[in-house]
Amino acid sequence: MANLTTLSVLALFTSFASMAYELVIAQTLAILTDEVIWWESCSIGFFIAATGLGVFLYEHMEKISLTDFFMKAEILLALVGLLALPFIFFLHIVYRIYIVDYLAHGHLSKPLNWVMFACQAPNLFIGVLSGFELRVLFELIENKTNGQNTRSQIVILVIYHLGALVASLTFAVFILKKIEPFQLAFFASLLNGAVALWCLKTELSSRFSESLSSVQQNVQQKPQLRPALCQLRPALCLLVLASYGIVQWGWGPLKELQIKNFYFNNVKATMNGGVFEKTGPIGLSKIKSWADQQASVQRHFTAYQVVDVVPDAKDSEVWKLFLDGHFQFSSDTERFYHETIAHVPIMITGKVPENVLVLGGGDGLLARELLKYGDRIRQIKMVEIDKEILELAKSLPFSTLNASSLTHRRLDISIADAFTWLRQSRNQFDAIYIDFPYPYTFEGLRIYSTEFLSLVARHLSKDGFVIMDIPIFGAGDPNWQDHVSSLLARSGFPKVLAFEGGYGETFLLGVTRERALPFAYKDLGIRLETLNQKWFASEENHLELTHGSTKDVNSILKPRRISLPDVWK
Amino acid sequence: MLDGASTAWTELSSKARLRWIMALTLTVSFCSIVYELMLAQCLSIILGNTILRYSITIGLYLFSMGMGALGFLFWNKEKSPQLLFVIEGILSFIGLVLPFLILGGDQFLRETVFGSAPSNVFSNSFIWLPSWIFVHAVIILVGLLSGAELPILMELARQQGGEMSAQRILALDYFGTFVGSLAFPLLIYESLGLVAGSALVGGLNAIAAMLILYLYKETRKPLRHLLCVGGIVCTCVLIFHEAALRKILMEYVFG
Repeated sequence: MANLTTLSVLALFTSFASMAYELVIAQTLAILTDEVIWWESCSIGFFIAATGLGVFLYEHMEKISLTDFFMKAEILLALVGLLALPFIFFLHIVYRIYIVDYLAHGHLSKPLNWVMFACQAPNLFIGVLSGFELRVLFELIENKTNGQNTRSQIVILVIYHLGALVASLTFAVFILKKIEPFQLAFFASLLNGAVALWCLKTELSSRFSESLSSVQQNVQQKPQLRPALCQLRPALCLLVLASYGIVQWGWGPLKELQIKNFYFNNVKATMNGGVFEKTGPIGLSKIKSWADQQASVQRHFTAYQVVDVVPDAKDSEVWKLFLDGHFQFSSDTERFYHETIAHVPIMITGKVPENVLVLGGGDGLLARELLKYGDRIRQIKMVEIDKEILELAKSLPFSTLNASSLTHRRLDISIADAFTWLRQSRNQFDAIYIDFPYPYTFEGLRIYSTEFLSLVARHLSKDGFVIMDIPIFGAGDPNWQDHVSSLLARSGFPKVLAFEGGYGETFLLGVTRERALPFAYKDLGIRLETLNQKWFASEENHLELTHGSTKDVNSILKPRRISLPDVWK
Repeated sequence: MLDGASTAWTELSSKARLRWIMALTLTVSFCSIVYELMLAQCLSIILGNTILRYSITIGLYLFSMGMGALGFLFWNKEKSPQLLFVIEGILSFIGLVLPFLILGGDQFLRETVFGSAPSNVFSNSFIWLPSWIFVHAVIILVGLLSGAELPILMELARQQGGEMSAQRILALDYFGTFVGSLAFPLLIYESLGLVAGSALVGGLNAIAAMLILYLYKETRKPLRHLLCVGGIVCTCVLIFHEAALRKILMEYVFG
């Protein structure tokens, strides 16, 4: 029978593995669906409830022996934990091919969330098996001490809970070190496999001793050899070992397939002889050969997001940047966006700001535009949370596009969370540029909250302005525009002008005191490629936002929505 | 009036008392997980990177829950109701002031420890450290207290209906946790917000504490009744004046 040290190691391994699976599943679902709070909360709820269920079901399970039962549980855990992420990715592929288009026409809100509920199945299974583990560990220690030694039980309990803590800290290190979460699940599965092997060894030696003593007691009687060997337990262990090889080999291609399916395998509508024709997406049977013909997507994991550089399907010179699966810019059209956000506020306010703060903008494209003013802008301070995106933007192909702006001497970069930085800083700026991704998740909404915008207002000089991009025009929630107006007004911006860029994006220009904001072209003495007088002449592309009537504006203490409505996605 | 009511309550049958203990279990396990999720949310507000904050909070919570359950092994079992009352009282207080404690505490620590110091590399790099330690200490405290609740409730149920009842309590504890984990993102955070949501959960803890007073004669003291009533009154005030209180907190923390 195992000693206390061995059982402690087993407790540590098993609880570490179960917790690691839960964390990895929750994170993957959160990233795929943009619903961080929802999936983090309900995954831990499902996991804890399933663990409780496992503790109860344990009584009703048939057991040949404790170690045999433990081994079966570990083999199953190793397999389920190992296959959980491939299952989620496969389900996502199926969703994109067969379900997304079908559900998009229905009235189901957030269809992906509902589909991804199926991904709680491995989480539930892992929880139940973890409940079994806990009971087995306690029975093993009880057998060892004949139920007398409470101290040993306490040690096991402490170590079992310590395993959960170690798993969450390891997970944090994996995130911060930019290691793919699948590697943590793989490592956890190896730990379950190691425990299963220990069980097999213990079971075999125990069976062997039993058979030997039975032979010695009665030489005439045929030994009752019902060893684990005869019940294919080693075969199961070999199956796990083979699965490690298969999954490790197949994970790369599956991941690539999922990425290509996400970016390229969409419904395409074309006009053919005056008739609207719909083609695609490619079905599962042909997807492998289709994917082999597609160009590769460069994927980078950072501590904060997944960065994808996606080549254009038609033009090999063109590429697009996606953050967490959301479009940011295309190399051939980005100037429409960056010239508008950089120069239109200066044209409207009529003065080149001396001190500029850029929040976000780690791609260096906004900085490229601002550097065109030369010494007229005395200082550009940039605050970017993601160090990796800055490093990426200093390398090709970004550096060609941003003209190596990030290494310019007049650009002072701080790597920090914008919220935290603003709380800490006492400096005033003539212009604050907010160049963040759209608020798809709570993470994004945090910076489109009244708290954040109030901080921004506090850092503006008397005649300063803030410019940001947020969807305003177009279909969707009819109250959204009123909400955004109220949000800005309550955060210290009594005058707000919304205008649409040349490529459909909406920008908001806010000032901290009432003054005229004439929407007109002005020669700034710099070379512009997309902005012209004709565009300014249109009456439809700008709108003055009056004070909204929404009472409850978006606040980090009471978010109006945890994520943006589906219509913006 | 209290005496009359308390006589009636102490005469409860074991079955009825057990039913109340089950209701108590459901309530406190619901509250515990909601506290942890709220703490994770507060952490992500202060420091960003929501997935990281949730993951660390969950690990710390489960670990400290285990330690809390262990701590009860060394406690005098005869004083279980008193201990449960104290735990509910502390949790109720934490719930009522949670966003003020975490966000206000963070701001206070930043200003106190580094606010007056000249801006230098040290103050810029480590300004988050005191509040980081503080918030994680609160997570551990809530985990420890929540962890101790379960063995106490199991012990109380065991006294009423044997081992089978204790197992029912365990099942209800897991169920309450499950419900809480769904209620937080679906109902509490968006509909009520952190100020009213945490006040509601604190109020539930205060009601749980009051229930303990009625179920166990030995726990009754006038001051304790007063504290429970005070907790419930505070809950109502916090919920009805949520917007004004949120504004005060916002102005203190974000200017």
